[in-house]
Amino acid sequence: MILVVLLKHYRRHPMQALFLLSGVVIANVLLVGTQLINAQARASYEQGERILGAGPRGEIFSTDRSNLIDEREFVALRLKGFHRTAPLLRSYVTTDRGSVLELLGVDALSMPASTSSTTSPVSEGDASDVFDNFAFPPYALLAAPARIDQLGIEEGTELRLTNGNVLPPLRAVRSGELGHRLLLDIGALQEASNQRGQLSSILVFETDPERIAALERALPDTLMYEPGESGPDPAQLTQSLHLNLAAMGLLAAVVGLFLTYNAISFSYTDRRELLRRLRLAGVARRQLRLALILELGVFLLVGCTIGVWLGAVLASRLLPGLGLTLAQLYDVYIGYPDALISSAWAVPVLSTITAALACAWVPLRGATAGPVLSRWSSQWELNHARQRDHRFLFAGVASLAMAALASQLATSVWQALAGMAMLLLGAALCLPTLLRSILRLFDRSLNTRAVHWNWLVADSRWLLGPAALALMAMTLALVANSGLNTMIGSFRSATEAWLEQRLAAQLYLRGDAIAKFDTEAEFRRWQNTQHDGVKVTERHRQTISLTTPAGLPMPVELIDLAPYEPFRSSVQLIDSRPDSETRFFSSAGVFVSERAWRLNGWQLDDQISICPSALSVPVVGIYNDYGNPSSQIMVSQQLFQTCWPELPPTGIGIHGPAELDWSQIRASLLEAFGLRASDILDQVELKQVGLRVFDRTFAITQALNSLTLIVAGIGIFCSISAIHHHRIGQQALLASLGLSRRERGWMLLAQWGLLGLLCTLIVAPFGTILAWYLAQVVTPVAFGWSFPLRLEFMPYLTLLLTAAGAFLLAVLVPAVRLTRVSPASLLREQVA
Amino acid sequence: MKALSFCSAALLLVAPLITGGCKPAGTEPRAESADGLAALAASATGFSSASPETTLQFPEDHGEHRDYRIEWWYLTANLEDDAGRQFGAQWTLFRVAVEPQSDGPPANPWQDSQVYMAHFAISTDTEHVARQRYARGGTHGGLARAGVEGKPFRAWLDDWYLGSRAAADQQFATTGGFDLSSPRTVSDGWLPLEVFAQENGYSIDLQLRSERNLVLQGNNGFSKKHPNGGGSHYYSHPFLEASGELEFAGERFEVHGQAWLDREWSSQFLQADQSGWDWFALHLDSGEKLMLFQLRGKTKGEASFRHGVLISAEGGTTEIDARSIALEPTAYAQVAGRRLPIRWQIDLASLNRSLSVTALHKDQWLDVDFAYWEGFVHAEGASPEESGRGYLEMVGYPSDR
Repeated sequence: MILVVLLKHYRRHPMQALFLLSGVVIANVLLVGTQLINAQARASYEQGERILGAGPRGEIFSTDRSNLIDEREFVALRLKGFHRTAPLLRSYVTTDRGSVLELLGVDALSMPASTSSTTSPVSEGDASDVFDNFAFPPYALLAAPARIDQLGIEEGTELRLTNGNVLPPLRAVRSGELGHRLLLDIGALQEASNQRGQLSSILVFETDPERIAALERALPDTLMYEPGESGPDPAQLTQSLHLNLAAMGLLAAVVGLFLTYNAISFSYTDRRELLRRLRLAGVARRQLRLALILELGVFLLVGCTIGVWLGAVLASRLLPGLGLTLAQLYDVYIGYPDALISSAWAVPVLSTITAALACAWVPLRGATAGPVLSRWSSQWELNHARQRDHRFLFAGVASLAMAALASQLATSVWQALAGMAMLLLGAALCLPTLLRSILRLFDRSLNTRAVHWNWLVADSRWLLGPAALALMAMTLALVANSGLNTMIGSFRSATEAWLEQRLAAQLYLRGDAIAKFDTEAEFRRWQNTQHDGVKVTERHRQTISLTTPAGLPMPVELIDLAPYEPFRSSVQLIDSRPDSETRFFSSAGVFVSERAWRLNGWQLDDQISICPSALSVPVVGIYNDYGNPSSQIMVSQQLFQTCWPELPPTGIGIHGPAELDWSQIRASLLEAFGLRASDILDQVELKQVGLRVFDRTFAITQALNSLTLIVAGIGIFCSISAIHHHRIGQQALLASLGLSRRERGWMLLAQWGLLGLLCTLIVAPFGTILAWYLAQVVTPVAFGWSFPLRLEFMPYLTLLLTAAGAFLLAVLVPAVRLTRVSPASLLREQVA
Repeated sequence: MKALSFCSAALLLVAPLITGGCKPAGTEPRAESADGLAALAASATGFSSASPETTLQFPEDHGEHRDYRIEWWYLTANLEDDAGRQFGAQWTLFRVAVEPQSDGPPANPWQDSQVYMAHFAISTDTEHVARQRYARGGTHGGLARAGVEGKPFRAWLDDWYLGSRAAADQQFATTGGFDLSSPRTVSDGWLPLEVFAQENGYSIDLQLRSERNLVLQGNNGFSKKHPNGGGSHYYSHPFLEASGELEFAGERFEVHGQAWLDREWSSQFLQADQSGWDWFALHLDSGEKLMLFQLRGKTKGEASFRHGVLISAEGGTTEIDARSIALEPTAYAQVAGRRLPIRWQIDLASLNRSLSVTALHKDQWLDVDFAYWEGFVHAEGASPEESGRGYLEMVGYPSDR
């Protein structure tokens, strides 16, 4: 009965119900979405490489990881009785529409037998169809439906590649495990990628340790076995990314909770009179509280249901994006399942409910605990708000101090992210007092004759009481958004500059293409026919196992650097010893990548022994190596030659003055050696590919970022509308003082515009600090790279415009309504 | 008669590839292909047909016939150790051409249209294990995972091997160095044979010798399989004396006994109206060999197509009048969800013989992609001409489920 009476309020004020509901939904949707995505990814990691059957225990690679394997090595292993092995060819191809595809070529007939594979729908379905079309002409290119959507193509399409070959017809398989990759027959892939006779690895499914040991003994020197578990644990590798996602979800949840709190407070404040009358009518305080909690429960139930549903929709939409990010950033693959894991929503929903109930407690007590006979006074509320804001300030300053501390001391991703949260929270908590102080300054400096303005500023100060939380929520979202924008922008510029520097040569000849020349002399002869300025430099790469300063063995990528331009100046050192360059090129020192420095602990002056035939040398410099998921060490060409004089180059750089006609040089190279277009990589093309990969990598972050902005916009709209609804009295007062509708309208806009502008002004520096925090604290800890912050104007402008748009919309709608209503009815509404 | 279609069996291989599942939209499961017999009855367009006019040539015909769609090398052995413990062993290689390969092998060996499937099974009187493997037929720069050559004879899939001694030495001496294509210097390279297979604690390593010649089945090696005249090329070597080592669940046994090799190739084994078969290969205590089969019709009550031959201890063959062959199941057992006859009464009126054939171990079901019953049996009768040991194969019995 009481509940019905209470709920009737919302029939009169449906917007308030909507705002409350929006708060609960927002609190849930991103949190549930990100939790689902993370749970899905984690499930994928646990399952491991299920796409390849029961999951290979390890892989056989070429000793030099960059080389492909002669497929006869696989056949030889089989003939020796190592039957739990299967060939794999992994190939990246570019379609004529510019999509880069990662293809896995497998031999269905070499895969471990599917004895009683009860779980496989293949055995239930029409297996012959799969078989006929997969392993034999016309073949099939299998892909997860989500991946096909992502590529924007249709089933049955035969994709044409830039090398002129055509892939088998595309076919959607409801396989959770394929994820980002596409699967086809190994023979079909070899032909499509012009890699006949070659494998990238041999999968080993053997589980018996003795057999694995025998297998290792049987391998020739050119091959090595690598156990599956020796690689980095994908869950650990990607932890930071998932933390980032979780943090974004939490951020949205906090924003949602602020809004929920806001909506609850207003709804209770509005009904203060009703509650008072109910109490006077004999309803016990406990009954009243119970009824209000029940009412909140109804909202939570509906809001959470919608939130979970939207979260699931969101997750399934974002999962392919995450898959792409993981594949490109970490070489880790997750499945794109048909149905999302359902258990991940329980925790977010429970925490939302708990938090919402906790949020409701203060206004609930306020609404029901007050003396029955006294009426609510605005002065009491202003004082109350001021006290609260002081507490907020105190907490905010403490948070900021913690954030500053974390920025200096953080060594784990958790700590770094906790510091970031503190920074965000600190910004939000300091906001009300900061705003209040600024307004007070305004108040003092204003001409006393401008009565309207005086009132406006004074009223704004009062407004800070009820609006503070909404403004804080907005600030939080905006700070996060601007911080991320700045960070991504800076990272992109840094990557671009780095690519510019690193891709020093105009043309790159791929390693496998080099094998096509009979001799080096042949190549030199070609060079002699070219302009004198055209120079040729071999690039080498080798993966070796080194012991980190912490004593852990780990694979490290080793590359060489030629002692002349343009290579000499292609390395930007973050930190170095005096004479580092001279020492490096005289083979008396090596450079380590930032990742090797930050994550593996190699410091300047640490001694590194590259190979037995060379003396150990000190680290003399640390260089940027953005986006490289593995740690790298750079050595001089001379030192590399000392260690591996016989190693064929992994590529050849052809370089010279920029004014030469490089497309002509490229054409001549293609013709002279009968190369395919894909054998030569163009500097410009490489840069484009690099940046495209970068943009895709951050696609999911961008998507979530836009979502938080939308959430913030909705939040601003909801809370301002709610506050306005509550401030009908002020309008009535102003109207009765003789202000015209137009004047009132302008005053409203001016008042909110002022608050909005002030918030934005506070947001910009905090956003920049956050970006710095992400660039210099979180990213180095998480990925091993840092990058200089580059301030860009556009993101701030976009943000300002978006925020202003949300503001305007939120203010205009109620403002228009308020200005249309007659003062008399306003007063009546206020009294009622 | 030993036949298996493994086209559809090999299909299941794709299963582990796509564990999440992969059922193409818009296609209904074909019940028949699950039985695996569809391929046997499939059209043979583009392939050679088996015909009574063809004269078999040796040693060439020990090798493969890629112009025929289906072919197998099928060895079964009834073995025992010195303690009298009995074993059955089976080693089989099947070859199927997915499509006619008229222009010779393709440039990319992975695109070879020949598919090989091998089965290896060992039975004791209480246990039975079966393993399978697949490979494509392509040769990768001199190395092939599977193949068959006639001279010297060798048939292999990975390290599972059946072939002449001489070829075997080369097979295992050279795989380390990629050199399987080295010149061979063996005369006719047939007997003695060696058979080898191993997987995870189960293996056979047997020598197969014989003083006798192989036996051409049917009409000079053409075996009729249907009243309308369809059939296959079929010869056997039922007189192989086996000795060697057998490993069962990690335990090794010195064994000896009798083995039977069947060779058969055709482009169409079953006709559309045939559903499966029962096949007997018996080493009689008299030294004679008895081979019988019946191809069951799809329609219930329809007479089966039967054929039988008695091979004397010297190797001479006597065709048994099909009308005088009575094959009656006398006991059934529930095996792998099927009701299978595990005791048969065989009456051969024209020879005046009567045998009761029993599987001591009922569950000799090969739970491989294409599953069937194949196991060692005992024949009991009143005389040495009516008793002995051998192998029984039962294919195409529908599942109860």
